Amino acid sequence: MEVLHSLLHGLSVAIQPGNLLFAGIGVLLGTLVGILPGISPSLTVALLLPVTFKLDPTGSIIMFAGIYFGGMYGSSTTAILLNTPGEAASIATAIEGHKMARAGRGGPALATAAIGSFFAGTIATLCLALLAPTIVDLAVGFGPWDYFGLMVLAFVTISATFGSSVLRGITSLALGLVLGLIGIDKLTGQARLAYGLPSLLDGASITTLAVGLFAMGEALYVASRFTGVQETIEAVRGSLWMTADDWRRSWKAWLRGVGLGFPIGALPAGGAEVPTLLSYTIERKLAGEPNQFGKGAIEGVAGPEAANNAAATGTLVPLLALGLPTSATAAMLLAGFQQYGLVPGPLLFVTNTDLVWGLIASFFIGNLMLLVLNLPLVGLWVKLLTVPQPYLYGGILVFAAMGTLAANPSTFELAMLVAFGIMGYLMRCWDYPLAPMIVGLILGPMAEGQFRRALQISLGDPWVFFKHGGSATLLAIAAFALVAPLMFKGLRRLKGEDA
Amino acid sequence: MSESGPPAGPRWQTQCGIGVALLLVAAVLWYDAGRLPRAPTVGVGPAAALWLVGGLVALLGLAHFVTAWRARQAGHTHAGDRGNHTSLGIVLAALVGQIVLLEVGAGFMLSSLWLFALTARGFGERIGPKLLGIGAVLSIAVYLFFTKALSLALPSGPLERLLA
Repeated sequence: MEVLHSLLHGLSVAIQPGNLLFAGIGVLLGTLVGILPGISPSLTVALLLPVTFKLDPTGSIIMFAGIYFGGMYGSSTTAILLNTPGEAASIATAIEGHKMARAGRGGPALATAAIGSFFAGTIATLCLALLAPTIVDLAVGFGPWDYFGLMVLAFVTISATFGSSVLRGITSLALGLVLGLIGIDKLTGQARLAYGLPSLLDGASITTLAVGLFAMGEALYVASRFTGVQETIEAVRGSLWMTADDWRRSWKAWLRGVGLGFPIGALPAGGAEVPTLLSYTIERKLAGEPNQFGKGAIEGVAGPEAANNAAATGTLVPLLALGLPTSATAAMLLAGFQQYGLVPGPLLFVTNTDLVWGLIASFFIGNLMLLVLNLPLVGLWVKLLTVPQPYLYGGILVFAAMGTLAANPSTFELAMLVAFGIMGYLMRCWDYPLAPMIVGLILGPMAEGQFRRALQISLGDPWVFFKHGGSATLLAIAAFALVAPLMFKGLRRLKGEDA
Repeated sequence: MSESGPPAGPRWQTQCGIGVALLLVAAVLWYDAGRLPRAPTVGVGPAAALWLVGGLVALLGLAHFVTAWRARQAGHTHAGDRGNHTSLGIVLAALVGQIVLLEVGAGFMLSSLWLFALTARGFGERIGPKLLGIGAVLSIAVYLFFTKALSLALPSGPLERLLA
């Protein structure tokens, strides 16, 4: 009941005209930018971070959430009509959705994606509202050793467990950790790795890293693969509405998508990639006519899209309740909080009740707005897909540079942006994942703080992490999550399947 | 940590290079750690994390040598596709040029116009009145929106002073 009360209070905050306006602007901007080909939701958030600099915290964070969800809706439109998944989580959507669009069923594909996202987002937000306070209650009893264990677990799952290569994932994470060490040490005030450069004392900025890795890296990578051939856009032909048969095939897929997406998203397991691909596989197994898969099966859009949105909402559980970002986008949201000096976590639920519950309530409103915005206006959004590549990437780079300059008007910061861009380009070329690096930069300093606090409390006894049940369990799970993929690989090789 | 099959991961020469780079990073971290004063009496000081992360990076560097060795055994010696170096070079020149322009005080709009036009050139667009027109409108619109509507400071040059 207490939750219901808080949620109603949040709703009263979220429907204040000003906050409604921010939510509206957020979803509009998010859709606008997210629909541009090759731009993922996390990049959308990173690019639009400076737009929210000067607003009041509650409105700005609500706008931010709108941008996040808008970016996801926009990305699925791009995946369906252009076959350009902006991120790994839309790959499944691109497979089936684009086939549907080519078969003249683009309308129902977009509809099942949008309605499924709305449905999943709403249920997942309810779950978030129910689950977050429980976790907050639990987290109040956490010591620094528990937080450290939790962060180590997040490091491992994000970088090693689900990627294509354990080594490349951890290398990416380690680079993020190294960047996190740059600057003034928060506990003693000593400068690390700054080499007397004043610009380095503040450390590497998360926004600069994210925009560099994602926007610049992507632009450089696309340029290096440029062939002069424009991708073809599928026009939305035929009816926009789903038939009774489409509904019948979609609703179960949506439900299963939520069931997969929310729990996996809420665990510190690294975002929406895993549940969307799992959902795709399951829908394929359960489908009445499995041979339709690969040719445009609506279940293959409905399930993964619902899973994607539910997982995205799920990642907000550890973010809001523990202050633990477990995906690149969650890391960007955390950066959004930090620009107001707000620290997500158990305390935020006490000190900023209005903000937290207003934000959660605004997810409902944002999702509803997006449904209204996306379905009838899809023809308008499609026009954006026709922006020629040269203008698109020119615009992206100008906007990326502008965002960095607005946050910190120095050419040094811009040079860092370009350096990160080149890094992102190389990492793309060599198949290193990008998200662990961002999470490493944002979580690394937090983990270090907890580590040192734990050792201070234990008077320097390094066994403190194993003497407490919570942290010992978490570290054991982390060790298992690190070793498991290696073991499975070894087993596969023994069986001779790993050709 | 095996990378089997040529398409996954870079070729072995590159992997060796990455390994060397990682060892260098580890050396830098350790050097910096040695420079910091000793730890306080209770707990660990700011150097501990440098030692730890340095150790991790060094370990990863060594692991890269191992995988490079395996990739070499597997005959993974050729890079996949060479890519379009001209386009890449032009976009890089656009980015570096923008920094240089800002450094000499050309202001946000001029440097943005340069960045936009040259990037578009990298993506195969001919530099002509249309491209420059779009770039100019974009730069001015972005500048006005951020300085007037959001009151954020962007670097100013001769053009910006005209508008102010």
